[in-house]
Amino acid sequence: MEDAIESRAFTGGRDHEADDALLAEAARTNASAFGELYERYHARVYRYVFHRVGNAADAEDITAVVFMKALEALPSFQSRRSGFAPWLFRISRNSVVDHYRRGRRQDPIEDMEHQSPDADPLHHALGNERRSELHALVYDLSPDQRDVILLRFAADLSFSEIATILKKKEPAVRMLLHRGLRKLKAVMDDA
Amino acid sequence: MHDKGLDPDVLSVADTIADLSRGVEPDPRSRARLRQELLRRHQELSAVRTQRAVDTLMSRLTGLKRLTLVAPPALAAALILSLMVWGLPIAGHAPTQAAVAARITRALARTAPTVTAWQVTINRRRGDSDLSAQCNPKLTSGQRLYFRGDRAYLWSSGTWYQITPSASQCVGGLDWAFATLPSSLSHNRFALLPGRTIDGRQTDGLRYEMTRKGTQYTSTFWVDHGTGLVLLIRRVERRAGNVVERDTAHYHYTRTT
Repeated sequence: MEDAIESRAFTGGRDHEADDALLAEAARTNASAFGELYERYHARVYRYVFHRVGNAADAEDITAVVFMKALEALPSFQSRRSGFAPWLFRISRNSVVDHYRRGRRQDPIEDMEHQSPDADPLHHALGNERRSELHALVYDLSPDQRDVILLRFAADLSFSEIATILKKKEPAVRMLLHRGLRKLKAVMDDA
Repeated sequence: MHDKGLDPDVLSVADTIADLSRGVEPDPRSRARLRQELLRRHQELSAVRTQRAVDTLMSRLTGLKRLTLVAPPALAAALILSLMVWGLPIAGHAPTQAAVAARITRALARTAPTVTAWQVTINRRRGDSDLSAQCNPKLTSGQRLYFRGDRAYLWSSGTWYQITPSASQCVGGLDWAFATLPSSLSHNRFALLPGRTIDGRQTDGLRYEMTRKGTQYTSTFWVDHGTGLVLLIRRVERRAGNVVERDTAHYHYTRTT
């Protein structure tokens, strides 16, 4: 019997995706299902947004916007087109872009550079609170490298989920991660 | 988080980045406040959507009122009734499907580890020829079925095997159909049919269609309401609108108590 059965590693990743999709379907009419999705994703969305914007106040505001948008767009969510996580983090990514586009708040790294134009941004960041470090570190990366690193490490997404969000192939995502990490290593070695 | 395939020289950087990224936690009070706000907003939106669905239905009924002026009252009443029967599922279709799929998957997850053997009796009609077959899959004492999410796994001598449709060794690939049903439900749009009693058991009726290479397959499942186990499957294969094959599969299970 076993010969005819496909052996798979018991990673559970796909199970979780299917589970989330089912929960998202239920959340259209069931508030507690939406509450469960919120519990699963709130910290991950917050961390991703925080490291993109670099401060807690904006991260809280944007995270709230992300979940409000998700709640209102839930009827249009189609699990077969993309999983729930890529869908939610696409909303998160767009909300961060909107935040900067509106120019409501100056990027804190830019603020630091204005305060001390001769100083190395990395040096400043390392001197700051630990929680701002990652934001400072990824600031000099290309937008795609920054996105891949934060979606991977702050949002805990798989390569295939990141590829869906960025509309790229998985090998391209892996390459971006690799190059981003190499660049960060060079910066950290110099510091 | 260790990423496979990363060069060793960037692994320490990856660890540092992972460590830094987890050093940030949202304020628990803000988190709780936002949750409350979202649940309140959810209720508002649900009320608006329900009202919109009712309004749509009512507008159709209003349109039909005019019909009562010119049509015999009995005809108008029949039309209104049929519109209500067809109109109501339109509003609650997808959530009901998801709820039924989730219920079947949960029931099957509880039942699957108790299944030790099953018998599938298949009757096939293709053109003018009939075929009957019986398959009797049986698990050994060291084997057991489990579900994680909508996927079925066989635990056998310390190794997990995922059950896929390719695992079938029976006519029409129907011997494992009960185990792959939850996955099929989550990947296909299906219709709910009125329940019926089979072998003294109350069942849910589910039907879905798929088309592959010009062939359309319509599968109807009758699933035990309590255990989530499939009791009967009817499958019809059509090409260019013509029925080319009909399969009927009856299932009987042996379970540990």
